Amino acid sequence: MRRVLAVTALLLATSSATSAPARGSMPAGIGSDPVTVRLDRSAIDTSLGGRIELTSTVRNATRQPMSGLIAHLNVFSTDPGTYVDPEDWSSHRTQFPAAVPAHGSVALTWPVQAVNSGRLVVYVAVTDVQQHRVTVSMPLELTVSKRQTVDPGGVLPLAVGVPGAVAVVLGLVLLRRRRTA
Amino acid sequence: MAEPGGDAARSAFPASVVVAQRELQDLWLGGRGLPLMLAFTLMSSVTSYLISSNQTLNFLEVRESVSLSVRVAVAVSALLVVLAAADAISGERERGTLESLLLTPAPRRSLVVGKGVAALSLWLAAVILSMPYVWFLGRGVGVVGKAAVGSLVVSGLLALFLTGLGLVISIVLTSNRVSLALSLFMLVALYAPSQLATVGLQPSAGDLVQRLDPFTSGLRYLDALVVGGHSYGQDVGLLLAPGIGAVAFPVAALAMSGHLALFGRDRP
Repeated sequence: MRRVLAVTALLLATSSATSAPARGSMPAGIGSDPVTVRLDRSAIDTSLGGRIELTSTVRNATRQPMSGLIAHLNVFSTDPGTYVDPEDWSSHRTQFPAAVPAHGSVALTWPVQAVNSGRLVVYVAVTDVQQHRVTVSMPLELTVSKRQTVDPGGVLPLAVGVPGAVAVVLGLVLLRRRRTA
Repeated sequence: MAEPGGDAARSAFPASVVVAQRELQDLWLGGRGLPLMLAFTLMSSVTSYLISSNQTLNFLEVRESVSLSVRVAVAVSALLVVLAAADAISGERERGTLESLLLTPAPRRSLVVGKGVAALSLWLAAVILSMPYVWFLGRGVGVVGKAAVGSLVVSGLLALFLTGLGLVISIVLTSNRVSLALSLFMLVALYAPSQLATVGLQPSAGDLVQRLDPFTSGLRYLDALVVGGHSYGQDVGLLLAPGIGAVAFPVAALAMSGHLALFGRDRP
């Protein structure tokens, strides 16, 4: 009986180890990943051009301090017709957090600006280069509404007025020329 | 162009003034000056509208907006100047009016000076008309004064340089089309490095190219002034290339004006 239990335990342990990379894509906090990452929000509504700040918490579930982690922010659109360049969204998309203490965590802030409208997904991936492991946060669902205005910043009177004034002068000159001809 | 009066041709200076007056009159009351300014203000309005949209969406900072607006104004005023200067002599040749101009008692240098002044008036009008846009985009951050003075200085130096360049080309070439095409090509070739920056070049080589090109160094000076918040004198070395161009090419045009002939030098 003991031998059967030992074999079963060994099989379970092996199964757990081999499925670890796949579990990296599972929601943070589920399973027994040594590193988990969690975003502070799961959904945000904003408008085009809006600036938001996200906070991700990288947690070390092991008994040893962990260093050499690399956190990376990514964003993509769920609409296949929308091209998203993540570089436009944030100029600081990769961070190298300091050593995470045993059973401790570090918080990373990500300034993001909404550059595309529509439904988008944001997530943070943490790579442990030494262990060849990538852990991904739960996706943050971002809804960016369009901003449409006919007169952005009140520029319209100027944009119409200056060419209008030149057109009036031109008209007067043409009128004068016609009269003198 | 109408022929300058003979009374004024007694000395080079009054003749230059008379030629300039006639050229300005032709340009602004009977020619392309006002339609060109209408096109310039329409383009500036569209540009400012787009810049303002980007500003509203937080895609552009105020200083960057002003810098972009000033850059466009400098580039387009340079285009207007070079087109007017390149057309000045070769255009008269092609229209068959240069002969009557050369027969007037006005010294040939006066003809070139007058044509140059008319071309420069396009720059001055364009810079003045760009100011409301600069003020609007930059209001509230105390950058308008610097942007106005900086663009006046930089575009002024570039306008002098391009007037001289256009006149030299126009004096030399018989065909007006070739003169305009060559001048435009020169303008694009000079402007391109400011857009390409120093991609693929060693830092020192890139810096040298940028400093030697009057356009690039002039626009870099403006950027440092408006976006970087530098003082007027901090990057004054960047004005060296535009300054040299602003002196050398008008002087070359004046030197070549003595050889102004019915046909260009490209024709035997």
